[in-house]
Amino acid sequence: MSAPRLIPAEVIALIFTTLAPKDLYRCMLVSRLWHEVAEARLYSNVTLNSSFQSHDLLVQAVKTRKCLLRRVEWISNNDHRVLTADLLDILFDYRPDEPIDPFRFSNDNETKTTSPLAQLVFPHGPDCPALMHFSFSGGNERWQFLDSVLYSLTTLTTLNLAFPDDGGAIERLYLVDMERILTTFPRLKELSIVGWRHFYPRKAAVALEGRDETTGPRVQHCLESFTFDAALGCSQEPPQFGFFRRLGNLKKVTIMSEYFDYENSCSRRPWALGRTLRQYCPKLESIDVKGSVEFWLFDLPILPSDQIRHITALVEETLSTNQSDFSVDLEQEMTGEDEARLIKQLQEQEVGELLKGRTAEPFFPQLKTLLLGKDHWLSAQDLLSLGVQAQFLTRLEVRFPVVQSSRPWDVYERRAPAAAMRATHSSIPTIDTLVENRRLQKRRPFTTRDLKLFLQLCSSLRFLSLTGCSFSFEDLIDTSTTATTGTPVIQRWACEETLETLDVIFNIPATNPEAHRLVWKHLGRFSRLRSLTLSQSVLIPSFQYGVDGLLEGQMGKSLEEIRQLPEWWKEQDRRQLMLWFARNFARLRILGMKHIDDVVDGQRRDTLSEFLDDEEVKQCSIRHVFIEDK
Amino acid sequence: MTVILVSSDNQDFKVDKEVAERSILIKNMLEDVGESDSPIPLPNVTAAVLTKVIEYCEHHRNDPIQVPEETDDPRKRSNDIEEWDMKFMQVDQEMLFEIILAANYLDIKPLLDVGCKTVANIIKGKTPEEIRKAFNIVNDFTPEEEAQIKKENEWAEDR
Repeated sequence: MSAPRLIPAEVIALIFTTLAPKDLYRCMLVSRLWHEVAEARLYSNVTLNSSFQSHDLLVQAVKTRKCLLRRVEWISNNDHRVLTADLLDILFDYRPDEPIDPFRFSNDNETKTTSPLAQLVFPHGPDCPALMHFSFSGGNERWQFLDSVLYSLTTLTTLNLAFPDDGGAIERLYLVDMERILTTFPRLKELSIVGWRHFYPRKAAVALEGRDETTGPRVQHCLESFTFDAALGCSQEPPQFGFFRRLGNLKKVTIMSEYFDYENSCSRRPWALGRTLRQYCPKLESIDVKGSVEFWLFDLPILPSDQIRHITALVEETLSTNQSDFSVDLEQEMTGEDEARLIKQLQEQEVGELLKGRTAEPFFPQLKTLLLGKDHWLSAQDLLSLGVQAQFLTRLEVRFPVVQSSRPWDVYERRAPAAAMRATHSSIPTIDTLVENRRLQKRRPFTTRDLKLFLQLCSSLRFLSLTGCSFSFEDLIDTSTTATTGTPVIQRWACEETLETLDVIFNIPATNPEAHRLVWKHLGRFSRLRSLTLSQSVLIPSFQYGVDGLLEGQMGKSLEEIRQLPEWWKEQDRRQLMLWFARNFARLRILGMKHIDDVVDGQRRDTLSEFLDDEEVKQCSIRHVFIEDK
Repeated sequence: MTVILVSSDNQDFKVDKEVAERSILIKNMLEDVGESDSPIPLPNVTAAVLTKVIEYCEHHRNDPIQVPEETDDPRKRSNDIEEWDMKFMQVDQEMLFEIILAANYLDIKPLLDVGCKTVANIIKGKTPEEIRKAFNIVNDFTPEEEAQIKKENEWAEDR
């Protein structure tokens, strides 16, 4: 039988895609055909790190196979003198007679002259495809050398620069020149600049702004994915976003917050980043915010004074219901109750307006993915506008609770300094303050009520992860239907037909089994659900509490994994429940549950091993059961 | 609606249109041909292999069509092969490679992926001699060539 010889090389290459270098090496020794394919695969992606074992052998091997290189990763460390010569040889066929001193490469940033290596752009001949992916990671390198190498690789489509904190001196930071990057790499599709030890020039940005006003429409760069640090635009200096005007093709952004000076930026401009992206990058499909980044999705406009008359009227009305003999005076302080009631009314009004889409300007029409990390500041207004406008939103992850401290929520538009000062510096809320707040439409953190509204609106969701907040039973109820019929009914979510992955937290008290029954039934409505995670929920998986409500809809045919069932196991229930799951959910392969040792006759019994040894449990179709120890 | 597929050894297979369209090649053919009822010839696929391919497509008929940018879900990116697929791929080697070739020709990416992963799993961890034995491959290197290859590429053993 000679089957493998009939297989075309491209299919063999596909087989090799998941193999590690070790296995590829062994494949190279199998036969000539395999050798050819495996070698191409092995040498297409090379990591140069002089602290690796057998690094020298690798370098020797690569030097004779430069044509195969597609991706080079350079991990810099202290031994740069050795690597310098190797890099120049591998990337540019540059073998000068005397050893290269990396200090001799001049800093070209100011004068923008091309580096001495630029004429060697196609060093290996026109038939040899040029390098497409380049990654650099390090902190101790001489930046001039990095720049000389970097700016000569003009054919790149992917560039990753990482400047991790390695405890070195703080002065030696890498200067990122975005304009130069965009100009030098016309084919760049993916750019990532992360790490602590880099910064952006300020002078260049100012000059850029001036230039932009006068020249005509700019040619759009083809960059599609950009990972950068939020500090790029949050300082007090004039905006450094000039280059975003050329990034109209951007589809994906990832915003980090590792920049060392971030905390020291005294006067933040949190609207700047969101506004810039909204204005210049209409094709944006994916936003991933990692870490503590003030990213405002939605720009709240300032209400002109003629629109606040109805607010003033509302305030007057609220006050007059309480006042009897005193004349209504807008400047007087309100009682706590009045204030609370008024705030609530103003918020309701705002929600109503948002739902009608009136106050929102269109933003990110193509948005499909939104991922928010720790310390995010997603506001209620953002969330509701997202629900109303984002027709293609398929993935939303809000894994952490929203920041509650008052400082980020008190930041106003820079254009309204007087109001801002008055509003934030007064500790006693006067009516004037409330009206001003409303006029400036202060952002506020979202609540589960806003989430409920959002879930009624957003019908395209496929992946939803909302572990930053928990739903109580009251949060889930459809208040209007419940009021008319008298029995509680859970509000339907708009994404019931489309949702495939769900990770939420329900918090239903154990004293109300009917509530649990309703929630399980509600979960059952998701007809295409494949993955369910309820790890931190207080929701009891037991027949007395209605877990069979999960079979309400079509989920029996589609559910593939339950990452984590909520806690609460009685020993006899566990086995019965698992078998029930195995029998009713044809595709279920993964079941996760928490384990609690049972106390029988006053002693702890390890029932876990009995459970796992049970014949029926072993035979059932659920392949992976993982048990988390309490 | 059903379509008729004809294998290289002239056997007819009636399948639902939805199932047949898991193959992009067939899907495109159907779009070009339009409303016509004529059977679709597949000269590169024998009946035995076609049976297996149809079995796969039937089982996965309801799977969402994988769009590259939407498989961003980290759970979907795992290298695990589904239970059913694993059992499905437990065939003799000749059939395994025939399925891969058929999936390549018919452009059924998920089946091609599963097939390639299955073969890759067979390769992993084996020495060259073991690999040759597993796939009945003849060693066409001279000993000098082998030594040379080892010398130059040995760095990869550590990665």
